[in-house]
Formats: sequence, structure tokens, C-alpha cells
Amino acid sequence: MSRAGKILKVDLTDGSVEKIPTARYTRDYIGGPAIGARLIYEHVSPGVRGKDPENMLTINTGPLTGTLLGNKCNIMAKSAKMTNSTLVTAGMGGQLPSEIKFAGYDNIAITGKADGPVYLFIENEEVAIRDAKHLWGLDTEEVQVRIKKELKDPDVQIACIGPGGENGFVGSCIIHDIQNSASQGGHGAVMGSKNLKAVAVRGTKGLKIADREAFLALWQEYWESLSTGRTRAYIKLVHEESLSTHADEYNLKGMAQWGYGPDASFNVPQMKKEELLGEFDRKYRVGSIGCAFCPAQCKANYDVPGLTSGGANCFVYLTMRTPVKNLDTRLWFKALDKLQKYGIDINEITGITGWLMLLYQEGIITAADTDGVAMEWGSEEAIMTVIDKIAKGEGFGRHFTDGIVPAAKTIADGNGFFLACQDRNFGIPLSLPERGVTLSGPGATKMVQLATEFIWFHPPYDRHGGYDLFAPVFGLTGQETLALTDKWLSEFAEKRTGNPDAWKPEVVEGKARYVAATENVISSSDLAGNCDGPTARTPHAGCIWDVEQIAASIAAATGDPCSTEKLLETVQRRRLLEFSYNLLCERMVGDLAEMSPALMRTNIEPVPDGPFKGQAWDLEGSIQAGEEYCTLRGVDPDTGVPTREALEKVGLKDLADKLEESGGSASDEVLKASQDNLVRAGV
Amino acid sequence: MKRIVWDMGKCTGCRVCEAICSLMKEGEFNPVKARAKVVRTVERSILHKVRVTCLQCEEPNCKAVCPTGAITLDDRGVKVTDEDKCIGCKMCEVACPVGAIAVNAEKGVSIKCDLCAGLEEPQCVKYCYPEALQYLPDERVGITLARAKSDKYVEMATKEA
Repeated sequence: MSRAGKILKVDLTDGSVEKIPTARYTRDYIGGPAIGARLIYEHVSPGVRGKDPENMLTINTGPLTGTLLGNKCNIMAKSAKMTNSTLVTAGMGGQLPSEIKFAGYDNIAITGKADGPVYLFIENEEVAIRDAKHLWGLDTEEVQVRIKKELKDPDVQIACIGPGGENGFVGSCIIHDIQNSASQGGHGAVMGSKNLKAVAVRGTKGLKIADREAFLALWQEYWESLSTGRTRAYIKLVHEESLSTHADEYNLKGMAQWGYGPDASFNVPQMKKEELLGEFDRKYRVGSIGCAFCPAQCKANYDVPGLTSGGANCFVYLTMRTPVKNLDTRLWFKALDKLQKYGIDINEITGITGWLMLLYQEGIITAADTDGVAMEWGSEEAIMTVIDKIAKGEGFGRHFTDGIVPAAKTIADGNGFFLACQDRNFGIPLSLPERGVTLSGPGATKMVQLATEFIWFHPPYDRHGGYDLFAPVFGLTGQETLALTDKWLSEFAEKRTGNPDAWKPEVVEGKARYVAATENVISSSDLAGNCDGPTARTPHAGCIWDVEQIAASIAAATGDPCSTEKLLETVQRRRLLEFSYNLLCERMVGDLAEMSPALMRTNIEPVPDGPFKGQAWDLEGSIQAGEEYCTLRGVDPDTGVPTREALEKVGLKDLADKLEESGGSASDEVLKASQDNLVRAGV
Repeated sequence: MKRIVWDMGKCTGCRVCEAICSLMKEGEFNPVKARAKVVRTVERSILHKVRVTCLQCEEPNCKAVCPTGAITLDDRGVKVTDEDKCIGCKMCEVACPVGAIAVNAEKGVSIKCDLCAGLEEPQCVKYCYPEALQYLPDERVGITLARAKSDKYVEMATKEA
């Protein structure tokens, strides 16, 4: 019922368009990126690389997308960023995901490569590949304006790339409207490699709901969970006061205290009033922006006269600040705006810029290595130069086209490689490595990283001002709010693992289950098209919307039976499908994307100060948790390969056969490369 | 009578009102069939939003131009369309000063907000999270608007030259 019913498949090489019934996949994969992964598995050989024409870019909505309970899509492709060309998913919200459903499609799959620049225009049944020569080179803001004008429809919703994606920079994103982007997969480069400048969608169809009363009751429950937990407090701050009023304390000082600064000596100086984000926010905020049909509208919209205008979400407050020692809020916003227009991921660029600045400080590079611009900490010229050169692929920026790993191996003869903070070629801002136990072992992939981020990063982070930030909204003191946060975390941990302490960074018992549970929530909301932000993914924010409620919502919306067990089984099927396919990719492509020694080192060095002083990475505990995690997921902890039994249980016998045929275990090599790096890093 | 008052300053442009309207009135999520619309315009990456729905004119043009008398006042004084009488001529679309009435392509008749006849309050008001919508008797509208804008008033009145 709430599904649009069709999957749109477009081949840009020959211009062919195919419409496949979604029902072919819904029984086993429900929706979203699970269907996307299945499509890629069926159509794309594991040997295909990210920027090859044969790669398939899938835009995946879920059965809840376009209803009151869903407003996002997930974009999935074999990533151009991953040197081993594995699958990466990036979520994106805004008005586009629901528009795709209203046009009659659940998923859009794009393969091939057009002869020259084109854009795809979808209006209900009509699908057209239109010339985009006149649009190539335009920034992401301008191209959306031009397409709307050209189509004579201001309500058409557009996903596009900027010069970053056109030039093949693997840190490029897909941008939609204001401040919506599919960022961390390098999908902008995949679009660019297909000569696809934009996808414009207009839909006028409706989505029916199987059980309106049940659906509305669930929506009410969702509403309540938003209204009573800390999410409510967050939204209240975003709308009525400003999250960022407190953001400087919360981010800069907290980060430095936690040892997240670019170097151990970085202490945030007393900031001048005009430098504070809160002051900036108070002056220049003109409203809130967000996704269709979501009451949260969780992003800020700024207009800074004489500078620029645009949006920002809470996360980007963390970037282009501490990691590059930039205390100038205007510069932060200027950089952010430029990155959005170029269509480049701010995380990636912050990671690269911070790294170059660190190399400059250490004397590993000089201004001559960066086209005459000194990479001084916090320098506006340095930050803007890095952005320009990388987006345009000019000068030293060319080294970064394929990511931070190839660049780090080239620049200064590779002498700065061990300082590069990255994880499998994902540049990480120097302030944001996930301190604490990261699940290592063969089963560790980006997906686990994502889950661990929310376990290792957020709870400790909250202790550095997070509770002070929210305390006034609850009418509690900072310490009382902290106790409330701990209570929420313990409740979720107990419900999911039996151990109420499993969320704590130093606790290993129950950790694997905790990670898997978090992953299950994220994956369930991906499949459903429900935003994963205010779900039990973040129990420390008081969010209680969990797998059970998502399953019930899917059932109410679609009319298909969808028990919690079925949803969890589908999550497991998706997980094993992606994991097995990625193993096949690794074996075919051969390149190994390794985790950086710098990141490991940051984890291993004890926290210099603050409430977590002295805490360090528990290597043995991490390996133990990693092995337990593998067992939970049906992966052999010794070889890192999914077991035949586990694969056959979810109907993936064909993958078990293929894994056996291809032989060997690339994951062993990945683990070995990571361990070698540990040794080289002196750990 | 009671009517819906929209507070531009509180509205976030989330479009929940559109979604709930089409679900309640047409049984599906479809902005095209919603009787309330949020007009979003993006200029220089700044979002401008305006909520458009029937304002319940005292002398409604739609009613005046309707050739079949399909638009009438119900017992609450609300302007409603009689779908049986409507011939889909679209004159009401042309006449409406704010663009709040349009012919539904599937049904071939004009659809407009009837303030959720039969329900305690319009559902868009019930579910408006930022409380940008209020359902008020005529007499209370003036003071409500004055209250909403009083901060602005003070700001302007005390602004240094």
C-alpha cells in the first residue's frame, strides 16, 4: 500500500529505461538499501570499480518514505572512495525522497555512462535523459535554480553534483535543496563518472496506508517519544533558542579536554564574543529547515549579509573548527558554504586540511608542497586554498582526487602517511576519531564503525557539556541531566544485552550485542525509510523508537505482515548480503583499504585530561568483542567469512557457493595490514 | 465562527499539515490532494515558506462565481463544496484571492478546506508541532495575533534611531 510499486532502472549508456515491480524484492528485502544492495549484487560484477560505467548508483526509499513516519532515502553504490570498491550507503533527507515516491518509484537504479553531461528528469511515468552541457561546471545552488527554471517548475526536487563530483574527487557528495547531502560515500564522484549532473524528480501520485488508525497511533507514539525525550529538548533548542548558543563550550572545550584536538597541546583560548557560534547564530539565523513531513526541522538557515547564506546542521558545528584550530565563525560558515556549492563532504576536507596543517607544523611539508600557501593552523588562505584546489583538481589538489590514502602516500614522499587520520580512505577530522574500543577483527567494516561511533563517541562526549546544554530544558541541574542520560543508556543496554553497563566504553561484556542492537535499529530505519536520528540508535538522547515500533509501522503502512522477527531477519539478510558481496569485491579488486595508524594511536594514547583521564583503548577487549560480534552475525571469527549455515538460513546459498569458489580470505589480509600498521605506529 | 490562524514566525515549513490533510480527507499521503499547501521557495539557499489554505472570506469570490451554486455555507458558517453539484469548471480557482481552492484531477470537482467538518478541530491544527496553527473563534484572533507580534512591536518601538 504505502509502496510506490516500481523500481526505475536507467542505463545512461544506451538510454534504456526499465520499470521493475518492487514486489519482486519486498518479501525478502522489505525496502530501502536492502533492495539497493540486492540490485547491485544482481547487476554489478564484484570486479567493477567505483568510477566504472558498470557501477550502479541506487537511490533507495523505504515503505515509510513519503508518509508522516518517513522522510529519507539512502544512496548506495560501489563506492569510489573505498579503494577496494565495496558498497557504501549514505542517507539523505529533504523533499526529494518523498517526491520520488509520489512519482511512483521506490528505488532508482542508474548504470552506464552518458556520452556527455546529462541530467535525468522523472515526472511520474515520463523519464527523460536531458542534455546538461550548459549545466556542467555550475555549483550545486546554481544548477538547481537553472533546472527549476528550465523545467518551469519551482517544485521539482533535485539531487545534483558540483565541480567536486564532476572532477571525480572521491570526497564529493550528492546535494539536494539546502543542506541535504549524501555525503560520506563518495557518491558525487560516482555520479560524475557517469556524466550525470543531476536527477530531477516531480511526482503527483499518492501513497495509501493500509491501516490508518494503527498508523496514526504509531505516529502519535513517535510524536510522544520526540516530545518527552531529549530529542524534544534538542528540537526546542534548535527552534527556540539555538543549539549553537552553547556549541562553543560543548564542542571546542569539550573536544580539547577529551584529547580530540589536533595535537595534545591544543587548548582552546578564551574566545572573543564576536567569535562565538552562539553570537553568530543569534545575529544571522533566519529560520529552520529540514525534511518533508518531519516536525523536527533540525537544521538552521543562515543569512549573513556581505558573506553568504545557507544551512547548517548540528554535526557540521564540529567541523572546520577545532580540527583546524579555526576560531573564526565567519570563516567556518564561509568554508561550509563553499563546500556545499562545490558538493564536497565537509568531514573529508576537514580531515585533509587538519592533516596538512599538522604536517606543516611538524616540518614534514613546507609552503612549496602546497602551491606556495603556508598551511598555518586556522589560516583562512590555507583552508580556502585546500577547498578550491581539491574541488577543481588543480595543483596539489590533484593528489587528493582518489582520497586521503593515495595522497598521503605521495605527498612529502609518504612521510606524513602515519599522521593521516583516516579509516579505510575516509578522511576523519582530527577532532573526531572514535576514542575507545573500536571493534576490530575481520568482521569490522564501515557499518560496524557507524554503530560504534554512537557507542564510543557520544556518551563520553556528552559528559563534556552535553548535559549542561540540555539541563535548562528539563529544569534539572547538569549532574541530574547526566544521571538521566546514564539511565536511558542503561535501560537500552539492559533491554538489548542483559547487561545495563554494556554501553560504557570500558565494558566488554555485552558489547557485541550492544553494537549489533544499535546496528539493527539503524538498518531497520534505513529499510523503512524512517529517519534514524531520533531512534534508539541514540538512547542517550532519550530516544526509544526501536525495531519493534519500526516493524509495526511498516505493517500498518504496507499491510504486509512485518513482525519484529521478520524485520531483524531482513536486517541480517541485508548485512550478510552486503558483507559477502564486499568480500567478493575485495578479492576481485585486490586493493586493501586499511585503517590508519594515526587513528589507532589516538585511540591507544590515554585521555590526557578531564573525567576520562587515563582511559585508553582496550585492544584485547576489542578483539574479544569483535569475535563475539562475528559469531552473532554468522561470520567465522577466524576467517572473517560468513558461514554457509548462516547464509543458507537467510536464503543466500548462492553467495555461500560464490565465496567458496573465490576462495581465500581478503579479510585476513585487511586485518594483517591493520596489525602491521599498529606495529609501524609503534603500538 | 472559528477559523485557523497561521503564525508565520512559528511555522517551520515542515509540511505535516499537508500530509495529515490529504490522509484524513483523501485517505492517502499526497500533497496534490491536500487542502492546505506549504509553498516553499528557495532563494540564495534561504527558505521562504507560506502556508496557503482557505481563509474563510466573509464575501467569498469562489461562492460568487460558482455557476451551479456548489459552494455554500454549512451550519458553522464554513464555506464548503457540494461535490455533486460541482461541474469542475474551475472558475473558483480563478476567483480565489489566495490560491486556496483547486479542482482535484481525479474527482473532477473542486476541493477546499472545510475545517474538518465533523471533527472537533481541524487535524492540521491538532498535529502542528510548532503550534504555528491555532483554531480560534473570530473574537480571539485579534489579541492572539497581537500577542504573537508583541515582541516585534517592542523591538521596533524601542529601536534606537
